[in-house]
Amino acid sequence: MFSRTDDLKIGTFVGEDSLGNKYYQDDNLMMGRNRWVIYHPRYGVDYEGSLVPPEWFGWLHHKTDQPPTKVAPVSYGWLSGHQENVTGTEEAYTPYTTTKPKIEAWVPPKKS
Amino acid sequence: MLRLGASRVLQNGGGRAAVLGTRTQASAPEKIEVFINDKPVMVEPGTTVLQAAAIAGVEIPRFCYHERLSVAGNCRMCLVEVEKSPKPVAACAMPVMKGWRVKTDSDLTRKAREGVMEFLLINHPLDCPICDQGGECDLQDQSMAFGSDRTRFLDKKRAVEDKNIGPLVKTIMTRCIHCTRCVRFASEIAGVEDLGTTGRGHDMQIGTYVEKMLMSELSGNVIDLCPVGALTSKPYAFTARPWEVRRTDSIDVLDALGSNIVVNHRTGEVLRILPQTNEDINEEWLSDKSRFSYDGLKRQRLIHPMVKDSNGDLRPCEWEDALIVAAKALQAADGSVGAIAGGLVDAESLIAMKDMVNKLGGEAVCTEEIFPNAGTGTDLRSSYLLNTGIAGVEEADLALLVGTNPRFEAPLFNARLRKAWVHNELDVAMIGPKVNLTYDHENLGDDASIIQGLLDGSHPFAKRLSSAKKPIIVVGSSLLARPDGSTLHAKLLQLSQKLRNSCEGGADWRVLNVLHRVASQVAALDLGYAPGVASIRNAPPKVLFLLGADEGAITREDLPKDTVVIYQGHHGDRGAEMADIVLPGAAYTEKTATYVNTEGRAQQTQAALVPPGMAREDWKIIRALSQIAGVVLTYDNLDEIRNRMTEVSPNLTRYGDVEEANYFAQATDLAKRVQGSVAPFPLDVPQKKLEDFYMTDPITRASATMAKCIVAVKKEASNKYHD
Repeated sequence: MFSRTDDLKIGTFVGEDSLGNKYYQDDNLMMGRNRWVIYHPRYGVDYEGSLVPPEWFGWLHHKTDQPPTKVAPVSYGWLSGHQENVTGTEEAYTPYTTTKPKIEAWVPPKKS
Repeated sequence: MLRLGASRVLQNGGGRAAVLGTRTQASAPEKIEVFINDKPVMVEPGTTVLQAAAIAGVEIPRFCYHERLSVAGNCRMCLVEVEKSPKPVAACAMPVMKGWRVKTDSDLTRKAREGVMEFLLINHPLDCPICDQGGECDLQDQSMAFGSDRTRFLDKKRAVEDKNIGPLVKTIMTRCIHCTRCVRFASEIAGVEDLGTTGRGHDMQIGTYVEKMLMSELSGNVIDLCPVGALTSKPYAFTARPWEVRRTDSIDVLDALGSNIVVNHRTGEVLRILPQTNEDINEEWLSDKSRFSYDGLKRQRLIHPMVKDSNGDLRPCEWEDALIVAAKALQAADGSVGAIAGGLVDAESLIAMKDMVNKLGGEAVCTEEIFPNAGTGTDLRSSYLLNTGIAGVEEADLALLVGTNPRFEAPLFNARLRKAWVHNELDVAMIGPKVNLTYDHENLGDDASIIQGLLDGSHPFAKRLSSAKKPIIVVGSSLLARPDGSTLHAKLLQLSQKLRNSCEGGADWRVLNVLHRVASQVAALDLGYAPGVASIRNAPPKVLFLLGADEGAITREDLPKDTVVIYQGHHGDRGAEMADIVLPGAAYTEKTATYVNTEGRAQQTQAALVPPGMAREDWKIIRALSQIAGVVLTYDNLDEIRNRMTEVSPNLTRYGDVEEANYFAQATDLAKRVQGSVAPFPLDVPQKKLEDFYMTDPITRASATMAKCIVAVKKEASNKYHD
């Protein structure tokens, strides 16, 4: 645990999100350090902030004091669900040209 | 267009003086002295003020005057003051008199110019920011230099309806200043009487009277001639400004004349092609095919090497893979290697290919274009060159065209013939199908036996030929591709030699002219390629190298199944379709390479762009392949390969010069031994109508502009206003 977080903290377990990240609280610590997340062990040290889904994000950043375990978050059919940041992975978006290529290559006719 | 009388012929000096021989020398007029801005100049009588000023180094502004067109004198921009003359005179039309003092920069001259400019600008729209001529517009430049800095004009400007004259020339007739250069070009040089003027004064319009297309193979030149933006290029419309393009001088290879061109390019794209002045070849004109087919350089290109996979489909691969597969095939062939060179191949690749095939032990290196091989065949250059030279035909007084339609096979050569027909009383006769050459000519019929009749003097035209002072015979390469081409070539050689001995032209006058259709042929024959693919067809090699051969002279059916076909070229066309290995080469705008035109003039193209994708310069590909195949060619750079070319044929690197050829007598002696009969079918030419002109090679076949031209020309066939 220490190797992953560089920190040792003891607090009350508040809840767990859909990805398996666990959220803790210790109000004895100063504001800003009193709520934290321990990412699911499968992320190893490759965790990052975008792994926190939006319903937990609000509680973690003190936008609200009600964690989603107490007040269920609103859900609509058109919400797409949480997507972590894929920068640096294979799913990352790469821009592509929308203009016609300057040189049109010859495509050989298929025999088969 | 009426032909000009003998008086006009007498008036002009230069090349024509030589035609008239002693008469001109005896009456050589004395030069007269005139003063241009107090600078004395000696000029011949009949010189115009504008020409005299040009000799003195003073340029007089002009719109309607053009050196190669008749004088119209209607723009009035060239008004200059002449001392003791009450009014300013139009310099382009006024011949100088002895002792005249012309002032090209006096107050009166400047006031006249400013006034003319003001009138011209009355009805000229202020749309320079959206005009394609902006930056290269004579009106723009001259209004800056000579115009007023303010306007006194408050009325409404006139507007003129735009005309649709085809897919190449865009018209914005409101911009027209009625210089009539386009009208004069169409009727005098192109020989199509389609353009003209209607109305007078304020209501004057340039147009085709009724809506029809400008059906000419030289129509693009009116774009260059137009001093304003009234006639601009349709494919180039709104593409670029003249100051932002890069210009590279090069050579056109789409016909055998080797016209000089300037390739305008930017960001790795050819934007347009303009002619460059070369008095000996294209003057300042360019045929539509050469000018507008540049979009074909961007389509159907080969941009990566390809090798056939186990399914028989061509698949893109790396250079290394393709070269190794090709080299293995070459080594496995054990000397049974052949090569066919197509029409757009440069001399560097030709020599590299020949050296490689010979080193591998193969002998069958040939050109796709057929040429007779009997008699001396291609051993003597004089039997396959346009010996008179392109400019030389202006001196001729009788031209006999045999099995060729120069209007479409070499439009600028035809323009020369027409020029001689107009100015030098050239008479033209033709053996072949009835075609429109844009000038009057006598059609002797399309029977091949007429040639024999001319040779033995039994045909009535033989008398005309023998009485001609400087006759020329222009032989089409399609005629020589006939099965009886050898016989016909031998007969024409004998006929030419007979005329050459009897005519007044003297020892320097050459009669036989072979007009080739493709740019590579003369260089290939100079380098010792065998003309025609007969040797490949009779003994198919195990590996056949197609070097840009796309005309389908050899098809898959002619070859055994196990023959490996390697195609090297720049376009995916018939050659690449039948290939097992495809090596992508460079087109003529992408390589510095040597071409020899039909008169034997070596010229070089300059690389304007880099070849697209993985494509490389052709001779470098062959050089690389030779190393992998184990027969290393001993040249590593352009200088070294050109040294090798010089070893084989020194004329190939004498750029810009025509290397003349001789030994007609010896060729004729050997030609007399050629046995064979004339085939009974009539002489034909492949390009008879304008729609046959536009697509003749892989570049033009890939060009969308050329396709549009063909569609437009075919549609015009239903236009009742065409004759």
